[in-house]
Amino acid sequence: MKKALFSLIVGLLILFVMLLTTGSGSPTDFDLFLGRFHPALVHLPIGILLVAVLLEILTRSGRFGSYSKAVSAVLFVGAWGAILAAFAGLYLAQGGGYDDWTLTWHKRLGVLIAVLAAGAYWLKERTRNQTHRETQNQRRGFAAVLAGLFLAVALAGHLGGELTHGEGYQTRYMPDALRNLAGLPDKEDLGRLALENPEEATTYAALIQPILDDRCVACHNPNKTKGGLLLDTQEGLLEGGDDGPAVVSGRSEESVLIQRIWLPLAHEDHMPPEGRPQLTIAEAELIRWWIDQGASFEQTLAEAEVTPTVQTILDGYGLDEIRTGIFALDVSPADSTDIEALRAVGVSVTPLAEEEPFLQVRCTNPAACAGDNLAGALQAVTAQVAWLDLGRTEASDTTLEAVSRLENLTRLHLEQTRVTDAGLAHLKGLQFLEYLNLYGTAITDEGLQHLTDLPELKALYLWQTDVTEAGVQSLQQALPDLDVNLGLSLDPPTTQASDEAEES
Amino acid sequence: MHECHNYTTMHSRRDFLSRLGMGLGGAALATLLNPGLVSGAAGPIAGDDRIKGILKRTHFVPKVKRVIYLFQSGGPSQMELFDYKPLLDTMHGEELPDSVRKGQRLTSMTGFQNSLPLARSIFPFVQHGQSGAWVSDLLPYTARIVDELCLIKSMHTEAINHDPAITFFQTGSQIAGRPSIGSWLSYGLGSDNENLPAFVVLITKDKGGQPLYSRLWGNGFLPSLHQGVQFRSGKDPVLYLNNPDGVSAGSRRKMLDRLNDLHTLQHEALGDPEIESRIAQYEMAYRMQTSVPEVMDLSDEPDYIFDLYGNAAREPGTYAANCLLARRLAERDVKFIQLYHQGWDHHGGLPGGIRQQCKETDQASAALVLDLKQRGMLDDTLVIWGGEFGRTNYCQGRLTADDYGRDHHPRCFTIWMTGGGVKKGFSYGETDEFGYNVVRDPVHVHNFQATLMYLLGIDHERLTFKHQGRRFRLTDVHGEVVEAVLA
Repeated sequence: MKKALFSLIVGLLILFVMLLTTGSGSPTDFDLFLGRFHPALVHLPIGILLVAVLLEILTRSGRFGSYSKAVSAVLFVGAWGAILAAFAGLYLAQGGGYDDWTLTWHKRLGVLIAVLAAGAYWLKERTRNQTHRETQNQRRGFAAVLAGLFLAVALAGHLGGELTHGEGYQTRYMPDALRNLAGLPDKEDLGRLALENPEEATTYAALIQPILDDRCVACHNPNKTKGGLLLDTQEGLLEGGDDGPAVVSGRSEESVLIQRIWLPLAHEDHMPPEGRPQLTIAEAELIRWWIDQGASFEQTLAEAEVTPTVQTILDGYGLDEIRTGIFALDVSPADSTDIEALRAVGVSVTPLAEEEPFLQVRCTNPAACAGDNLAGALQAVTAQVAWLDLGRTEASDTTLEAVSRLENLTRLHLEQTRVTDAGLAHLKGLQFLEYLNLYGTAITDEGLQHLTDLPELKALYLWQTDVTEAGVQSLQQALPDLDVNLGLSLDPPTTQASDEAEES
Repeated sequence: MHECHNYTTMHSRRDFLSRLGMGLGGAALATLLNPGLVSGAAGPIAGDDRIKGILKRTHFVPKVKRVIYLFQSGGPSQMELFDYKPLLDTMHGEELPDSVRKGQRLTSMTGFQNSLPLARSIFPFVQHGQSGAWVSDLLPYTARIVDELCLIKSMHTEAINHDPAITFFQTGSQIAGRPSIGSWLSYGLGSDNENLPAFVVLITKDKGGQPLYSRLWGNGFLPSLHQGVQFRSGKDPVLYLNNPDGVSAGSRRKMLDRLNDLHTLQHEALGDPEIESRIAQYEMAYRMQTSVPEVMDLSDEPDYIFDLYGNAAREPGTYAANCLLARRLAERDVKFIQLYHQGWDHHGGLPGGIRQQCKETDQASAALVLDLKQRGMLDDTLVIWGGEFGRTNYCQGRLTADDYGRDHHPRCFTIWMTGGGVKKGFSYGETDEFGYNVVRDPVHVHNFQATLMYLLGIDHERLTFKHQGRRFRLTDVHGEVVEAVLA
């Protein structure tokens, strides 16, 4: 027994020394050869140690008391198996390319398992060789060590799985109810990008950096910097590594980043190295597309020129369904009785589209849209009315008072109505208003001042009003993206003269 | 429900049993007691429901509410208008290389021609606007609005002759008998104006050229109230609309009321939905007796509007007058306004012919776009300009210094669109340097139709009509939305 215990202690000591001295240096081929025995070796101690736990439980249940002697033998074999597996594992880890946190804890747990298994063996042997019966404390202590062993095996095994198969392997097909308990999103949202601000998201931040983070940064970060290359920052990408810049703007075929990805897997220079999680073809294609487009860090997704292949990929990310403006809001559909009440006033009410809560309201009866009836009926659907067409009706400033409460209004037709400058003050709070048609009204420059705080206003029609160029300019200083129309003309083209001369 | 005489067998024993079998016995009994309940797909006769479309909600948020389609019938030459090919200047008169044509089919008009000499455009091209689009001298007014336009230079079609080609463009099939685009939209979206048809057709008067048949704006197998209604210039814009001499408005109304009673009786007996269509059309015609003269009367248009569209707009029936009319119809929420201008079929004498065509159409087309824009209507209107196919890069007939002709060419041609939801100052697709084949981003007619439907909020695959045992749609089993042209 002493020899056996001694051998275990020696093995553990060597393991400790290795744990402290090996990092992820540059392993020799022979190191990796040894390392790759890890997967083959690791399952053996897992099974053996679990058998030890099982035997102990059976022993204590009483009916299988004779198994007791086997427990220590099984623990001894399991402990040695654990030492050897950890041994190989430490070599394998030198290859690098793993998630730091997961790897560190996997290593620690692996060594802990070897220690606990050896400790359990020692405890078992001690009680077996003592003259008196096993004390209550000994029983409890042994049970605690075995419980810890069981836990450590389970955890280390799980982390090992994550290292090999990637994060989320175990939970991938978990029922949504369980996933939600674990704080994970629904399965159908997997792989979908949830961008907080899709209109402003840059291609790089939304699509490219996440790929690099997933596949490259484990080795190319300030702590490791393999090949002198940092891929966790924009500067690092541009600066490149020992082989020069990783990215040549506009030329993917000359960019080392792409060249290394496309090399055959077995090639020495292929990245990520064999055995590490590889980029999918879609990810490689996205990076290639991003570089060919100029490798810009500022270009937004909206500005990017999307190829059909990339569109397919983006569809998969759920980027075909970017919802912006009012469509990003959570608005419940209007009550059908409220819609009927609105129709009863004499306006046409149509849903904007299926599965949208928003409504377009159009006044077909000029007189109906002036009175209080409309204002009253609109009260019940203030969140739902997105488009309101009061053009060529008797709508006036008082009507606009009701309009001011339509918080999600995006399009408003007031052309050829009696609205005045004072009425426009009611529009101040319409933060989603994009389109405003005031052509053929008595609006002047003064009225425009009420519009300066409409952040989304893109199109404003002012033909046949008393607004001046100067008034438009001062409004456009506040709203540079605003397109204002003061009426258009089509003067005879200058080349016309020569054409007509030719004909005669 | 619309299969021939299906309604007469609606309550057969087999029907009755199958309904019972599906646990709908009660419902079946109700329909037996009151056949009107299931008789018409369009629902009860009374009320305004029938002017609404079959889609109670659009599939997508619509980008536009209406379409004005400026159809240039005959096949305008893209080589002289939009598709600038400097190579033809240098290779003028040389044979079209076999490596370009690759034995592709030609029409019988030039298929037997010994020589196919390449012909340059005698009209110079200049880049215009911020977008730098190439437009020839023939279109000085269109050139000024290029920054509003989305040019599609890679249109291609399957048909090689006028009638199948125009039928294909307008109905999605080369063989006559399918509903026209406007009919599909009327069927799907209904009308926004109960006093005017949802689908109006305007044809430039006194133009010769390839004939236009009313089946181009026909309803095909859709209920007949969805057919396009042609508005003519002159005393009777819509034929047979006005009361005959000696019939007063009052007696017309009484006659219609009695007729409606009879129709309703007939409908209750037979359940034929076409009877409902008939009632709707009589009523629409009655209302149109007031609404049509109002919309056709241009006397309230100020002088500067006539200046904008050109003086020809003062003369009813011209293309310019029709463009102005199109705007007035659009203002009244007519859903689909189809203009036709014939005379673009320049097999010979192209320079003179096309110059005349452009003179008739260029200013008014541009004016319509600008007029819609200044009224804030370009944001929810789609304007389309284009023909049924393009013309060859080689000469038909004799090529002389200042005269030549071009044959039909379905493999590439240019159209333009503008309006809500479409990119502006944008050119899509590319032809080879000879202007013979599309080399980048081809747009098939079905894709164009799918895109048009998309802009109106319709999924072209989901607006269907069952006829003779199968479901039909505008794009048949084809078509993809051209997302690249969407803003």
